[in-house]
Amino acid sequence: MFSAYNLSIGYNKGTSREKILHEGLSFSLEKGTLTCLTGPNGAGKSTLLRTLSGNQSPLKGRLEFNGKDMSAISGKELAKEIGLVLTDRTFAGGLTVKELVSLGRYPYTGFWGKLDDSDERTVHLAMERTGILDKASRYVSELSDGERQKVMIAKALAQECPVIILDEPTAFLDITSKMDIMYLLHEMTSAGKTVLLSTHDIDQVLQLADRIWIMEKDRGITSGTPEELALNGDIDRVFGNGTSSFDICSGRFFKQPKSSARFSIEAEEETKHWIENILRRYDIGICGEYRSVPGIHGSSDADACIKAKNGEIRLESTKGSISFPGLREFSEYIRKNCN
Amino acid sequence: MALLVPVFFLLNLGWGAVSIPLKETFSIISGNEASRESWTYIILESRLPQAITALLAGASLSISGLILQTVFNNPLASPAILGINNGASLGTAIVMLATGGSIGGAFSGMSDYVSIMAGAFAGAMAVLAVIILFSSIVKSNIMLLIIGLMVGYMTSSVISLLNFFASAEGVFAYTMWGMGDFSSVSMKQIPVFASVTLCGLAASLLMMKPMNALLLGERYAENIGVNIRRTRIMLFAITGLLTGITTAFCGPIAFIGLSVPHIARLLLRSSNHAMLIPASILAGSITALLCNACCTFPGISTIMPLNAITPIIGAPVILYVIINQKKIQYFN
Repeated sequence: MFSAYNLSIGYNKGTSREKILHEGLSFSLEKGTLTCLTGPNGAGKSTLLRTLSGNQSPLKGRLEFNGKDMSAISGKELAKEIGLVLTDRTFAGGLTVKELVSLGRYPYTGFWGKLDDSDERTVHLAMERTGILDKASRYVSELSDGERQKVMIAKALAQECPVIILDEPTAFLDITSKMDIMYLLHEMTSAGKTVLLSTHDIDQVLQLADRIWIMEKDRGITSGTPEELALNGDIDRVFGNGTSSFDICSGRFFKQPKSSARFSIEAEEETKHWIENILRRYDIGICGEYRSVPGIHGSSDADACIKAKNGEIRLESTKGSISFPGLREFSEYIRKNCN
Repeated sequence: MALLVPVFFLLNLGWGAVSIPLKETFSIISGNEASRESWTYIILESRLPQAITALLAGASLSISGLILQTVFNNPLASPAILGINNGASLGTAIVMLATGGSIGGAFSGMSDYVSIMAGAFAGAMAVLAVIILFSSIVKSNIMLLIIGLMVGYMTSSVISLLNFFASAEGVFAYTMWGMGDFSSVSMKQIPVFASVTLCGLAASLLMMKPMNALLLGERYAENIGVNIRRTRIMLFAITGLLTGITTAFCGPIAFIGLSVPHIARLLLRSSNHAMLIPASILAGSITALLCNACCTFPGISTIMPLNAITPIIGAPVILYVIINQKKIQYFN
């Protein structure tokens, strides 16, 4: 849907204070995909989103939407093509949810903004899909942050645009709302919409994105599927630092252990996972089969071995062995003695 | 609310410094003669235009305030803030003070009064032109508000200078004008005042769709297809016109533009401009008629200045809104 050729983005175009954030960007956004734009703060993600949504023009180069040059598309036409969801504060607290979602029909309604039957149906459907239909007659100011984000998404849905651009849609939300919204966006792409969002939530990005665009300050955009970027080390390179690194086996970020102690674990899969969690919490190295992962060492290097069976945990080392009735006692022991 | 307007209108007609029986008031309006000729004169030449002026001015000021509060997404915006009132005052000050209040000779054939009005209108339009110019260059709302404030300060300082160098009569005349007055419009001038005002009010009704969009903030409004620059210019033009003509005829009137939109929002419990615009018009008229009625008292010949009365009604409303912020929907 979008194609960029040798694009330069930045701000204060044409003035003496013109600042170029990125040059020579070339990328394309395919129809029906969920693309997540991520990267460190200050990399220029918001600027890119503003350029793509038509809010500001590119400094140089060519940006095409559906084959047409963006600068040739009028604001009114663009309103039917791109829907925006931002974290901006609105002054619309005194409107009801239905009134706000109905504003999404703005490009389609006549002079007085009156909704006809098909507009009403679209608004109704948008509220239903975002799960806020039961709150239609409530004031926007009475809603929680998560519900308000859903209202803004419903408005973008009511706008019936093929492309929806979201700037950190889950930024201030609790985990349930975050998941709700990400699943909703995923559903929307299944229904044929093209979604581009910027986010810091790597977890959800890796799970749900069809494509990831990593934007870095001096390196432009690195694009790929989540699996590609994880396995060729890009995720670790961009987001890992001295203290934590990205574990390509579990797809999570782990703290590098500080102490030199290393334990190996013999247990069932679920218990093993949580014993590892305890060891990582208290900065103890883990010996395991995956030597290629930083922080994991070969089994022969173990200072001690932890064996878990039938709920009981034994810590065996050259100095002797200690038994614990459960994970909590084991965790307490590690905390007091191995920190 | 619509029913209250005629009630207040008639109240204004029947209430005043000279006690006139209500029966007589009705008969005079319906075209008959009254028992005293002076009463006919008072009703038709003094109270009727005064009531009509209050009706129109109240509506103009409240719509101006509503437009500014929506455009700037700021509940404390008002015509006074953009400096338009000050521009009008400056125009008037130039006419009254710089020429010693006797400019009649310079504009042959025009009375002093018309030249004052011309000055006020010109001043308001000049400030408005500056604001419109800046609004096509500056994209940020906050910057525009600050520019308006600065323009207001600059005009105030020029006015102070003029006051300093002017004659005693000039200063007195200017001060009296500054107190606000619905009674200075004669029946002959009403058609001009009314037509300009009604144009502005009708235009504001036509802007209800983009004004609702502006509630979302500029980025969202632009995304759903609103041409921000054109809409802003249009809205500022309406505000300038309404404020300019009202200030020209009645002097700078405080607080109605600031408080009446809040009254309308509190009564309607909504920010939807489809209902808010008509409600503000009605509420503005009612408030102005009320203030006007409070200015005179049967039996007392002195008239209280309008700008002393308007804050008595306006300020408590604002205080109420600020104190109850958390409970009021449109604030959140």
